[in-house]
Amino acid sequence: MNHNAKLLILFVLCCQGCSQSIVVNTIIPDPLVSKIENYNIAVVYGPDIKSFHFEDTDIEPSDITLSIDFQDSQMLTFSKILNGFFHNLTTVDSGNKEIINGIDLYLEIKLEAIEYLSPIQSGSEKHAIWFNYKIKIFDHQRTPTTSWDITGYGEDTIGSLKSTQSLEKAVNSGLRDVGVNLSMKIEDDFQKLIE
Amino acid sequence: MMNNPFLFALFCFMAFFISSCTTSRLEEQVNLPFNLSEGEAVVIIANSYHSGNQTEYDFIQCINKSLSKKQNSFNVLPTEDFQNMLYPWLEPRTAPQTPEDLPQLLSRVLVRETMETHNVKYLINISGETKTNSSSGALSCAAGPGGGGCFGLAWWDDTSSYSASVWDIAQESSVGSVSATVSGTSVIPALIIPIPIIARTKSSACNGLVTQLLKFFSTS
Repeated sequence: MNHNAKLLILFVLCCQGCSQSIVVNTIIPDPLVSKIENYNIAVVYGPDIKSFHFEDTDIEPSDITLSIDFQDSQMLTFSKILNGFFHNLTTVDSGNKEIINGIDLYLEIKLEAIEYLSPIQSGSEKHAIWFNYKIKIFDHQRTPTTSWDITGYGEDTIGSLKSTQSLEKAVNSGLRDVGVNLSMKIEDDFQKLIE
Repeated sequence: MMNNPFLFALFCFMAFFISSCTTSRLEEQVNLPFNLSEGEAVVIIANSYHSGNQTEYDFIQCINKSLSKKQNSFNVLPTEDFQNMLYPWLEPRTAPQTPEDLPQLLSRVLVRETMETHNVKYLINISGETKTNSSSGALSCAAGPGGGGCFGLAWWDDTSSYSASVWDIAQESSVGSVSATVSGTSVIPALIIPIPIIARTKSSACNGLVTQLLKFFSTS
């Protein structure tokens, strides 16, 4: 093997340590919840929910770039939970402001923030990720009534797993936790909303 | 050093001596009478990271696999499958952390029905983690177009300490617990090629805990 080939292999090995990139394919199970009957819900997903690419170049060590392609996993998380609670769920485009006949409530879901903590930043050999969403709720006339803040937190210790596997597990746990918090919010507050 | 038989033998002896320093401690406590019949099932769950628990995912997997493989008198429902069945009520935020939390989980009709459908008799709650207590030595590696290699000696002490608490679904209480603590020293001697000699404390703790659990259930 000549010197150029050896240098090329060395360069490739070095570059592999400079970035972390994952594609999220979280599968949220059907929630084990009781259906809320006789309510027709329309959901408006913000553009960052339908598809989102998270990039962080400001993590330690400074030469690492983190890239997380969420694809539509956030939308699927919300959709799975809402379909678990409601029979009639309609999805409305974010630009569509019309009032739809028969809809009792409109939910507008927006991504507020995603924050990531690397194993070095946390000082505990774990990836940690935090999600924050705002759900604005409108009545049948699309008049704002209230809003819910839904968060989710996931972490995973690197342990014997590959670092990207651990990151994937942290993201999956975070999105599942979003589903948990949304389910708890609907169980606790939906009745108050419709009274 | 490889050409000097005395130095090589000394090096191997040191590596063997350091790596063989492993100690185990197993404990068992039975609180209430219990029984597990054929066809009934247990589920392994872990305490939440929200409560500060750091039990590793691979340790839970190890307990699941080992407990399924080493007996065929009862079923072990895989943790992830069961979490998915009960989603979102067995997630880190919602799963019971103590036996006192069981009534809240079981007050959900759909949860109780799912457990009955799958004949789940006990939940086995795992907590604990593997920690590196101290490390020492020095190991350096270098690589260049002409080749590469490492030189030095590094070692560290690990302690794997885990406990399993057995919760009875019907009685909504803990019927007993077992624990395993394994300490060991790992060493990496390096003479051009590093040779890791790892004390498998986590794996030993997993085996110890499963052996204790099987003994626990076989006395029923």
